[in-house]
Amino acid sequence: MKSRKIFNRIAVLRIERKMSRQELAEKIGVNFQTIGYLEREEYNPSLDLAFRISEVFKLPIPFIFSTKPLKALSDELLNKKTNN
Amino acid sequence: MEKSTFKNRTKMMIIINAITILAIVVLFELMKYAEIKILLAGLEILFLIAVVITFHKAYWQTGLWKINHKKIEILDEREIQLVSEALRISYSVFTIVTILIIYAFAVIEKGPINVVIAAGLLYFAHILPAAILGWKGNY
Repeated sequence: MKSRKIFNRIAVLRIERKMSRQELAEKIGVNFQTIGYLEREEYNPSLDLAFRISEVFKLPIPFIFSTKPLKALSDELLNKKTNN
Repeated sequence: MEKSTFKNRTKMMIIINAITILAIVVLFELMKYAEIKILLAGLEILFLIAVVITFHKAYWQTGLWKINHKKIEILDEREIQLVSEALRISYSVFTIVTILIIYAFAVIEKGPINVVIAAGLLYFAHILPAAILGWKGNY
């Protein structure tokens, strides 16, 4: 079965938290090259890895991963403010 | 070095390594019939040196050898996926190549395969998963 492309916000969140790829890799227990593949959305993580990433960023999985292209965080904030 | 240049150089080294191994096997076979054995033996040594150099550049420096020989517990899930796929493909390729060689020897009635072909096949079996990973370039 061909898997769907999973979009994510790993790169944005990592940079926002001033973390290097190596640091994030050590925290979630993968090779640093795997972080690059995840950030470029060239590799879909397992559920276990997705949970580990969400635990590091302390954010829910649907905020980090999606099957649809994710909006920029600034756009989401703007939408939230407009709706309020 | 740029990523694409690095990948292309690895591919080139994989090809040269395979060609030199093939050349060693062919030269060994030719040596049985040739009169100038010393010249062919010298060439064999040159090709052997080429195999060592290209092995170092294609498989050792790039980490392809390591990724294929690491314990499974040390690899992360993406690496396990890559290595498993490479092993699956190389198993099929190796089986086909070996059957073809044995069949060819049976057809031309040359008896059992010689020691150099056997050694070449063992080497081939060992480097094939790494070669597949290097060829795909996503390791």
